[in-house]
Amino acid sequence: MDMDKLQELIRVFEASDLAELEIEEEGRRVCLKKATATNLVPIPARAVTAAPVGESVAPVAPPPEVRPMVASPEPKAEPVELATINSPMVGVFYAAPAPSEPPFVRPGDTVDENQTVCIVEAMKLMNEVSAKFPAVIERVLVENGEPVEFGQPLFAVRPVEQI
Amino acid sequence: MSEPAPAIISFDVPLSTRVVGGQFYVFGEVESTNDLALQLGSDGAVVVAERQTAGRGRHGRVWHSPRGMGLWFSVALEGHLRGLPFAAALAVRDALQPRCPVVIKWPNDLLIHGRKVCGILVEHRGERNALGIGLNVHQRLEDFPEELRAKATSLELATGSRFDRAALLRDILTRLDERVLALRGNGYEAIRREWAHTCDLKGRDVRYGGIAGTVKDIDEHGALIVVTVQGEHRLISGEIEILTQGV
Repeated sequence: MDMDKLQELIRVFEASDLAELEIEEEGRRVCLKKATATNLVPIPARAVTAAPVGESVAPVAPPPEVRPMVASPEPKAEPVELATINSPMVGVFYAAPAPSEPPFVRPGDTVDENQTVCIVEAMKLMNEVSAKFPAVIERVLVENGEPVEFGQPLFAVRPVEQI
Repeated sequence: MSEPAPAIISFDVPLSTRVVGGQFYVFGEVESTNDLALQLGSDGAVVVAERQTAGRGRHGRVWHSPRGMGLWFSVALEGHLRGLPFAAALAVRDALQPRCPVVIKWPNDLLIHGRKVCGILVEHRGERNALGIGLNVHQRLEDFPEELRAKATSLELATGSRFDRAALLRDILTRLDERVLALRGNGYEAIRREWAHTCDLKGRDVRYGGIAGTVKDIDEHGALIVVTVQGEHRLISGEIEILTQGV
C-alpha cells in the first residue's frame, strides 16, 4: 500500500471543505470522513475517528489494505437519492451478532422492513437496529467496534421503490 | 460430579407483582432465554430455563449456564425503558444483599469478593426488551470451566450457605417489578443516580483496553468519564479493571 499517497490524500482532504470523500479502485475503497465526536472510547478500544491511518488503529483488526488514487471527477452517474439508517443511541457499532459470526448485512444485500442490520451497544444494552423500509445496503459507513453518536448514519441505503 | 439438579422452579404462592411475572414459562433446556423472551413474551413475561445451551453475554460472549446450577431467566418488557440495565442491577443487588455481600461493578455485573456471581444483558428488538439475568447459585469451583475459576463464583461457593432458587427468583422478580414501575413512572434519573452512587467509582483509578485513568464521574447516560494522560475519555461499553479503592 502506498502510504505517501494516502497521507497526501488525507492532507488534501483535511484542508478541503469536504465532509466525506470516498475513492474506489480495483474493488478497494478509501473512505475519509471528518469526525464530529472524537473521544468516545469503547473497550477494548479501537482507536478510530480522525486518527491518521496506520498510527493508532487497534491491533486486533489491521486496517484493510487500501490503494488510494488521485481523486478524479465524479462519474456522471444518474443521481440517486440515498437514505441512511441512523444510530438510535450513543454506543458501539457491531456489524455482527458475535465476533465469530458473519455480519447481519453486507453491501448489495436487500433488507426487509424491520430486518436487523446491526447492533449498537452501550452499557450492556444491545440494541438491534433495523431497517425502517425495504432497501438495498449501499455502504456501511462505520467500522465494526467503532463508537457512534445518537443519530449518526450507519448505513447508506437505497429504498427499493427507487430501484 | 455435581449433585443432581433440583426440581424445576415453581412457586407455592403466586407472585404479587404488577408487571413482571404476568406470564411464566419454565423450560428444561433452551438455547437462550433472551431469544424466547424476544419471540414469545408479552409485557412482563418471565422465561426460566434449567439449562441454556447458548446463553450469552455482551456481544455474543458465552454465558455458562449448566443444568440446575443457577437461575437463568429473562423478562420480556415492552417499550423504551431507558436505564433498564441499571435498574436490573439494583433489583438483583437488593434481592441478594440480605444474603451476601454483593456489589455492583460498572455497568451492571454483580460481584462477591471481587468475583462475578451474576451477569445482566438487555437486548432490545423493535418495541421489546429481553432482560436476561444469569445468577450462579449452586456451583462449586469445579463446576466452572477452568478459565472462569479465578473470576467467577456462585452464591453457595462465596458464602458456604445453601440457597433456594425459587425464593431467590421470587425476591429478584419482586424487586425488579418495583424498579420497572419506577422507570415507567419517570424514575430514570433517580435510578441512574442511585446506581451511579452504588458503583462507587468516583476518584478511583481504572484500566480498560490498555489505558489507565482516574474516574471523574458517571454522566447522565451512565457513561464513565475517565481522566487519562491523553485527556478525558468517555466509556460507554466494555469491562474495566478497578485499580484503587475509592476516595
